[in-house]
Amino acid sequence: MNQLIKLVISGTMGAGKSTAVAAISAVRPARSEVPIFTGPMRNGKSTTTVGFDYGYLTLADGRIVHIFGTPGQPRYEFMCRILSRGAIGLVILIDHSSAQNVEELQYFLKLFRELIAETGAVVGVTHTDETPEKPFDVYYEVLEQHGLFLPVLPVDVREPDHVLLLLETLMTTLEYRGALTYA
Amino acid sequence: MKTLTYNSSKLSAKDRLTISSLLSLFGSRLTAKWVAVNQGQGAVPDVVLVDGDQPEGREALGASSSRQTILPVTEDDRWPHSPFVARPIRAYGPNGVIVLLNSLGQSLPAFEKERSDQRPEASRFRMTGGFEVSPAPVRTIRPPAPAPAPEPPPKPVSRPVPPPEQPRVRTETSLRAPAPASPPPQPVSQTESPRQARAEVRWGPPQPVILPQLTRMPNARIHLFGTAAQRPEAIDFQPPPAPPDAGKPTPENAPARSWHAPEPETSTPLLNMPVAHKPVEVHRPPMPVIGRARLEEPTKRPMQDDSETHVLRTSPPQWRAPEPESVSELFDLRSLTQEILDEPSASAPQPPIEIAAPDHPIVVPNETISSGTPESPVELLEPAAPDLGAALVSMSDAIASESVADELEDLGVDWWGEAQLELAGTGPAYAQSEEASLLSALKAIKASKLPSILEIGGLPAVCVIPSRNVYFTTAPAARLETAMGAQADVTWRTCASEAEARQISGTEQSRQASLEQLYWTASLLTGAADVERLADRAVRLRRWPPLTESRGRSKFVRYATLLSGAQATPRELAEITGDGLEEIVAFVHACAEMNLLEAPGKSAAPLAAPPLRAQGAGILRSIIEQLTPPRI
Repeated sequence: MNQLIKLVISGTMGAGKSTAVAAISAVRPARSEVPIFTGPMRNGKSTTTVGFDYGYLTLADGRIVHIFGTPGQPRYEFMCRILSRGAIGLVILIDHSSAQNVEELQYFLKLFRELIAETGAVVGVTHTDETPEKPFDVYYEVLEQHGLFLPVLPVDVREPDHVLLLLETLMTTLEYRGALTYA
Repeated sequence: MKTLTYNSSKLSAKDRLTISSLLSLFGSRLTAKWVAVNQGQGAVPDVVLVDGDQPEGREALGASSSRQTILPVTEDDRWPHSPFVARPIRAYGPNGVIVLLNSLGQSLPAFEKERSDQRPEASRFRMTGGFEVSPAPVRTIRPPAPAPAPEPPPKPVSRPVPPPEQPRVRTETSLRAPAPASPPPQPVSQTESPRQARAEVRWGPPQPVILPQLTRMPNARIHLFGTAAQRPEAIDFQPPPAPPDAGKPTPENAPARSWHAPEPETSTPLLNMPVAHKPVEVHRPPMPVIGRARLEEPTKRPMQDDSETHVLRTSPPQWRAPEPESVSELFDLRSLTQEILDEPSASAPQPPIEIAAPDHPIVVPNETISSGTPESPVELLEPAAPDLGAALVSMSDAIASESVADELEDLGVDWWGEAQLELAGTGPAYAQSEEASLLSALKAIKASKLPSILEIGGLPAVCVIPSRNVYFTTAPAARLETAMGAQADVTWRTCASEAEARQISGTEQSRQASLEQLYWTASLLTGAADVERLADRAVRLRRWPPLTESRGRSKFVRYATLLSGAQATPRELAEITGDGLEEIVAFVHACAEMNLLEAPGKSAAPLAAPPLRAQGAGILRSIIEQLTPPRI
């Protein structure tokens, strides 16, 4: 009984995907970060993920929930497609302080269109403390344009409790949507 | 003696200084000179050191002529073309000598091979002894290059001097170390052309560890093996004569003595390892002064009269009165109210007054609150008499009054703007309410868009910045939530700027939090007044509530999930989830307060019988429930 429970955390560069994986992983996650030499830097980051981040959660009955964090740069889009295969859910992290936050959400909604349609997703908005005055309605407007109504939650991915809220919301959404049907 | 000239124009000064320091250790065996490129004076250097990590150095490597050996200095320890000097040289410590000699030794035969047709037979150096390091800092000043001098005669074998005291860094080389695989030494005829010795140090790969700087090597020696042609003592590598009491052995049948393991009694020529010509600057801290610092004899003076003799007496202690603490500029209005209320009770006994009694709402004059500053006098806050209280209209009553709302709607005036106008006008600025006091205060603050100070039930002040949608407080979140749930007293006042509000409230160092979160918590804890009226009202979410900091959020996640897909009434949700109706109604009421519900007239699909779910939700529990073995 090797049921693969795989969750994917994706999002923009500097949104906190690696931090989110590290916050909830039972072990020290495997990372593939390299120093940033070219391209813009986000939030003072000096490294970026070029492969993927991996961590896992162990359930009480011994099952393992595999958590994959994708690269944030568009050049590694193929990695996002590879990692999203067989996933049961998706967490999209958007940097609220970014000026292109709307465009970035649109990009990821298009990128994971099949996965979202088959399973479900939840949108976590990070860095809200930097620009607290920015409204959240823009995200719902983008979701409405794509015919979606996904939970949009402000989170601080440095707090494991907030990341667990995202996963709990995702699992609850999947449960009531009937996507998580193992029976 | 080999005179080595090397060019290092493409090398950094730091590397050149390091290499010079290392080569100076072999000053008696090797004379190295720097030759600048533009000052070569026609002489071709033996080795050209270039920086392999720089484009110029790589160009020099590609354009190297056959007459000179290019030796790159690079950080790439997998440099494809050997030899090379690995960087950082200094990081290798004593092994930096080995690294450098390996590189130089591998580079020199190639140059010699081009000069002579014969293949040079390699000789080898083996370094023994220990490197002594000094813990004291050493200034690395390169001494002037020693002038070329005739090679000194080799010294006979001598036992090594006992090593000096600690600290020491021992090399891994021992006298019993395996000898290099090379042909046995053969006597060199005098007719052969002199060959340059090949420096090969068999110490294994250098360890990239940072060691203290090498200062001198008193016991280090170089054992010379092989056919160093220019050295007549190389012939002495013949097996030593057998002792007279050995019995039969004769020079003919004596076993060939292996020179792989040099023994101390053999007459292997040893070369004293030169000592680094480095000026060692010993830093000695000044001696600690213990006791009297003045060591000279005190000058003897004649005795004077008692009247002129100065006698040292202990002075009385001069206690400095503590400075008064800075008075906080935050005025606790409730405490002032309490004091003022206590005054009339001293003259004439009056029945006790409950400050937070809902039956006696306390009305604060608007000029005290709206334009209140620490310097402004606080007026007497009298308890609202029953007749006076009946005459005043609270904000909640005004809000609830349909006539007022209709009038405002007819006038086309923003409702909150009217409330702000009322704050600055003659009406009551703020009235406490039993049910929605905090919520109404937050609404008023949000509508005013002015920095405000909110005081809840004796907790530290809460600085609310509605324009930035944040608030600051030093009160713990749990206490704040408890106070809000207990419907504690709430007072608030506006300030001119955020800095002033934060200074008065003492929240300059506090961490900001989301005002939406506070608003949601207040809405949730306030509860709905009419449960039955909302229980059968079909609603649907248009936005998700901020559940990040909410207690019992698992239930709220379920409610929001069910209400985000379709319309449902709280009573239906109670049947589906098995939770209490009041709790679900409170959730719906909070969503309505935050304007998170869709308009009632908007068409929405009804709730389509979601799966029944047990209580105690959570990600782990839900996954475990869904992945029970018989169902998979």
